[in-house]
Amino acid sequence: MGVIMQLRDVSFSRGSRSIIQSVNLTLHSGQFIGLIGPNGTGKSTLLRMMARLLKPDEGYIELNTARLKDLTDLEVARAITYMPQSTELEYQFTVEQIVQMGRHPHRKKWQGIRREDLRIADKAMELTGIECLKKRFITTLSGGERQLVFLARSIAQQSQVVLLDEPTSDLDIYHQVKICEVIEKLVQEGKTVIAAIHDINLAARYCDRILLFHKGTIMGFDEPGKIITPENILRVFQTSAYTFKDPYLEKRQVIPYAIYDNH
Amino acid sequence: MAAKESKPIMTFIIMLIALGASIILATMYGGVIIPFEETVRILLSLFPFVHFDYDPMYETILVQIRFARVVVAGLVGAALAISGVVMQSLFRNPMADPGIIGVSSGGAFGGVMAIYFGLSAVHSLFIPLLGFLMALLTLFTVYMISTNHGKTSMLTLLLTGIAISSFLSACTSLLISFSNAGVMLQIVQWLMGDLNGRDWSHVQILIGPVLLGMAIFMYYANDLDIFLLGEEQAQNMGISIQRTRNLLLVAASLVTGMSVALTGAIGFVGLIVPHMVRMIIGPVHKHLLLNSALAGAAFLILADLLARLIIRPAEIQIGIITAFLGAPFFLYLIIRHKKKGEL
Repeated sequence: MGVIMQLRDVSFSRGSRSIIQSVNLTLHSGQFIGLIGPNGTGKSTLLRMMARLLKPDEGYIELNTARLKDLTDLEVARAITYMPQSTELEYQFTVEQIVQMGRHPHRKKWQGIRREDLRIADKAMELTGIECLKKRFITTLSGGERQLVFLARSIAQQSQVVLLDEPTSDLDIYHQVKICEVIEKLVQEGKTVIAAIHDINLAARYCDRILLFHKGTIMGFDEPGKIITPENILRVFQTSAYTFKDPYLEKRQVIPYAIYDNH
Repeated sequence: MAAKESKPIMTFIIMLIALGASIILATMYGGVIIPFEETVRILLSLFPFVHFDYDPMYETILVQIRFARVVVAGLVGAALAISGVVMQSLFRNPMADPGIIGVSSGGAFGGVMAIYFGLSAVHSLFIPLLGFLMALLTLFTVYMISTNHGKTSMLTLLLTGIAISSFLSACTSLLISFSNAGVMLQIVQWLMGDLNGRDWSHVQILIGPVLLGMAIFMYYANDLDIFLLGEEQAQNMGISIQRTRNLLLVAASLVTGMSVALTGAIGFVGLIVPHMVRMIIGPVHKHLLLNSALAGAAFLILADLLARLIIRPAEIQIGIITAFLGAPFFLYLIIRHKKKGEL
């Protein structure tokens, strides 16, 4: 599969504090990439830069060989979707209205919902299994349902790259697995999905590649089986763990058993 | 389900009827009560190619004296309501209202400056012009101070509004105390102004900016919806947020500043009307803007009618009426947000 996105020597700092340090990364289309690392290591910042919500201080990002910074806002919106960590909303939009908003970069500013937009939004709701919530107010949904709605909104945007900031955090196991399965379907369609995920075992099950991130640098980027090792877990999370290949899933899984506080 | 989708349209029709009814009522009543049928005939004859027979004496009272004032009230009501809608989306905060966040005080100070420095004597348009510029300056200041990543905390917004309003009121008072008796009278009369004696020249000044503002807001109606999801989401959906936001803030200042310059600060319209309309038809801006404009117009026309009738033949200020209705509503909103733990 072809290269979709490249990061070259990308750095970012806030004041004197360096958050991302000279990151080099090549992403191929049709992959589900799990972004893993401790809290506060710059995962969100990295995702935001890839969505051009933040501009790198140094280095550059390429999307299909074009520099990200040279694209118009609309071009970026059509190519890259970003879903933030918090999707809380106090306004009484219906689920359907939220999902249809994903069509915004594809229509003229003042234009209403076209038949094509309706069809695409309906398909996104079908894919995420939320058709039954269509007419419900977003304010009445549970956290897991709301996350699915915003995932459907991202799908309706029909971009090649989908960036998700902790889509499964705080969700029950049903919604965690549901979201991962939806992502799997997107990847089968050829999309590239990068998701910050805290649950390493969940990431190991579903992701094609794991990007291990620590203190603003990449500690490893490879298949889950190669990244999820006791050494890596200890190095990045200061946690002793053992790993094993789950006989049923045939995926590497990790069990932590002790933490080191050596700082 | 189908009922739901037709709701905004049904509401729109009801609002149109309400606006029509309020215009009829407001042109009927006054020192002389014009019979209902006569009023309707005269009003319908104002449309091109329509003509009915009516008593010319009534026509003079209605068209020359009352109708311009009603149109000004309607335009100002619509202007304040749609400014409220837009500010609530840009601040991502349901309490944003031209009066509460100090934009009206800014507009008023601009008008007072125009009178104090003698610009209004040069040309009467200087009052709305300075009103607009000061409203603009105030709105951007409040936005910069109170907003963080496109979201404004309830408390910061209200406190910033109080501080800015107090400061601008003090500036206004200062200018008044520096004035000689003649200018002082002129300023105080203008500040108390409200809708008394508003005529077609005021309609001419107001109609352009209000329609322009409405057109801009409607053009960006989808963007205003998406702003409610947050700044990052808006950016990610291809909206050039900085440019769009600045343009909308300028348009909102234009609409508010012009209204305040012509009628003085009329409070709470931008708060009550959008809230009520949102409760009925939801937050989608395409519908919210149109319905709020009509509801705001009808609301202020009726409020003005009350102001004229309560202590007839004298009048009370229209701001008193809107404050009596608006302040309790504002307190109700505060209590509701307190319960949700946001204040």
